Amino acid sequence: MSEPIRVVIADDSVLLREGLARLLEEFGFEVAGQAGDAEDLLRKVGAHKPDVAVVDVRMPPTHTDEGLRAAHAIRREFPGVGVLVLSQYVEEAYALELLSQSTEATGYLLKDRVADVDSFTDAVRRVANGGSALDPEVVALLLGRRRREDPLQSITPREREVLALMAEGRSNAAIAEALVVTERAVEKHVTSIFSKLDLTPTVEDHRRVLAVLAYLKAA
Amino acid sequence: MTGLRRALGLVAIEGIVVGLVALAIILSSDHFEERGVNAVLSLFIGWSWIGVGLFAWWRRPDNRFGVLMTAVGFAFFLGALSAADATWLFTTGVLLSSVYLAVFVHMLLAYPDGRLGSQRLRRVVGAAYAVAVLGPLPSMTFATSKELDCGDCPRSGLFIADDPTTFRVLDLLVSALAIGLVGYVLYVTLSRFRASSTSQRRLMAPVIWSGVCLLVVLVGSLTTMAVDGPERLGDLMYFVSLLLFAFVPYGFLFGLLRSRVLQAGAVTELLHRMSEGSDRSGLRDLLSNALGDRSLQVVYWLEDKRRWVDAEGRPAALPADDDPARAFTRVEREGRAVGAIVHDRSLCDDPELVGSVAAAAGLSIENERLQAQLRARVEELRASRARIVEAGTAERRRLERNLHDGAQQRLVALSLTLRVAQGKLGKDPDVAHDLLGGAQEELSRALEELRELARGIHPAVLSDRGLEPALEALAGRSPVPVELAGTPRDRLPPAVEAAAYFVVAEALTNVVKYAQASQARVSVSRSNGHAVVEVADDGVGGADPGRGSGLRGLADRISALDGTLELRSPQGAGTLLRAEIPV
Repeated sequence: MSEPIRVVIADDSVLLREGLARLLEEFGFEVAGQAGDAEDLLRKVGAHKPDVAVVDVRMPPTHTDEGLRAAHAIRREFPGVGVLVLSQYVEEAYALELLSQSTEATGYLLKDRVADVDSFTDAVRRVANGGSALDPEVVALLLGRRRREDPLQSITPREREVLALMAEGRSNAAIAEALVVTERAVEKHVTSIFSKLDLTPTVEDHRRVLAVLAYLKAA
Repeated sequence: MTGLRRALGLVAIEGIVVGLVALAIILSSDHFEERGVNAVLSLFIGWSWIGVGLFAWWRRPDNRFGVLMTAVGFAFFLGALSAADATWLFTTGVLLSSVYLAVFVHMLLAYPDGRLGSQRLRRVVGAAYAVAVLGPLPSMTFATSKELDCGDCPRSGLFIADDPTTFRVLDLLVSALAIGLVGYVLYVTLSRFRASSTSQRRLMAPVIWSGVCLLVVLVGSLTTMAVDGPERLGDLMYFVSLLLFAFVPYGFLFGLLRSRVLQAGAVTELLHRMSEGSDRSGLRDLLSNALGDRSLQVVYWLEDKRRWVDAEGRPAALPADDDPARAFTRVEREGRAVGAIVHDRSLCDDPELVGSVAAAAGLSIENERLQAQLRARVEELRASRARIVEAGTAERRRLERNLHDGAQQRLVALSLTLRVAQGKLGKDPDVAHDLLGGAQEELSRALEELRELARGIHPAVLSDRGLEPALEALAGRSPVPVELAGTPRDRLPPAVEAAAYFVVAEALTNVVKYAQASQARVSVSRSNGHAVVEVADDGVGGADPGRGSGLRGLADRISALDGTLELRSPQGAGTLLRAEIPV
């Protein structure tokens, strides 16, 4: 087993912070530090240089979007540190704001998702490794937008599933596993989707997410 | 007006001619004593009544009082016929010589509006005419000229017999009738005067008092003659009654002038007092004093609401046109109605006074109107504030219910499930595993419900990021495609943003529920210091503004910010909900 992934957790609720720490440690992560507010978080990220910071959106003093701003600051000042933002509510504006610049080493998940341990740890791992993670519910909202002359209507239900998983930031292998198909089949679907939506095919996962999100946002 | 003038001119010429004829008859009379004095006095009295009567007629063509005064003058000239020496002219003259008194009684009882107000008054006047003509009849039928103390008088055309007893009896009877009638008229006049309002009394006083004096002297004179009292006393009383009679029209003229002077005084006083400034009841009291009407009220016209309100801003009604007791006079400034003075109907007899008071009070009433408008607004705000509080309470009740029925129930069930799972852990781990899985699902549903509830109360993104992302989220969640046509570049005040958000939220909910629309368009813009929120759809239209509490709550929310909410929804042509909120 390689080096454990090192995590800094920021949440103003001690209960939740401790809970997250225990969960992550149980699943083989190393919790390098815990912070109660954005300032503390930036200090600890600077000190510990973790692989990923798991950050709550609402933190003192104003309890609005400190977490988001801290996330931007971390991505700007410590490019090697990934940021996974946890939010109490599904707010596509926040998600898109966070992921519109770069989807690299960035993620946005609904806080409830931590209970789904497998997909949560998977997301933390993905972001720590430079990938992206977008909550399925946000993806559903983006896909569910009603549009006039909707090109999304031309894709098949299967392709739609693949598109959703792509938007969540999953790799082809992960998508193949989730849909119980071969990676080869997933690749075919991806090619078809990209041509139907008139997108330029990309190889890297996080660039692919960026393209898909830009498309969904603009449409 | 010129038609009336010409007619009155003709009557005046007739009056002059009739007067001159009377003068000629008296001067050429063989049996009249002191012809010169008699002629001049008769001419003066007759012309005075006709002149003043015509003046009153001209000033108040609608009031028959002037006509009656003129008639008194003409009737008075009829008596001059009794100076004629020809038998039938003389007889007719004597019979008609008291008619002027009957017309006078008619006028007095019809004062000041020229109409006999009741059946009783009409009967009294009828009796007066009858007695006036019947009065001289006994002397024309059963008395010789000697008994009448007029040796040179021509013989009566109606002479039957020289019967002193019958004459005395009939004369006493007629005199008693006449005295009783005049006494009754006196009583009616005085009680009418007592029952009048202050302003009415002021106008009536000179005529009523001179009329009353005349009636008193008349009673005295009739009594003296009936009981054959001293001749000199009878002559004196007759002379005094003539003088008093001559005075009545001038009394009327004086009353008119006095009301002019009082009116000028009242208006001057009013202007002076108003310049000192006054509070609400102050203006009413000033006007009430100036017009001598204690029941006076001032109401104000609210152009925007198109209704009358009192000084407190509460809705008020104007008296109907045919209201017997109350009337109103409009007050205008620069051609716009600003208010009205509601007063006793008797003041309608003096429209100039009310008119000048209204004109003088115009500015003050305009000021009061603005105040009343403000108070009406405050009243409205009070009502809408009460509704907002009520809506807030209702909203809290709804939240409480949703929390109890939703998330709380799920959490209780969850706690039970966990308790059972705990019991199963040791002996039946598979069942415990399934139970925990179920608990997990239940928990995520409870969380989802809580999230939805929180968003309904106030979406966090609205305060954090502003209208555009919040409206985008609303649009994104709508089952009907929504085009977000524009939002202001700069942030609006939080209360305005929240109101705009909930306008769009409510409108989109209604679009989905009722409009059967294929798409909707949302825009928020700034124009003329207002945030303008518009939600339009291409649905069936015909939306009812009173539908549900949603729109009402929105209207209150908007009006709390001094804004307006407008719903345009013609049948079959889509619906537009438009809110304008001052920024």
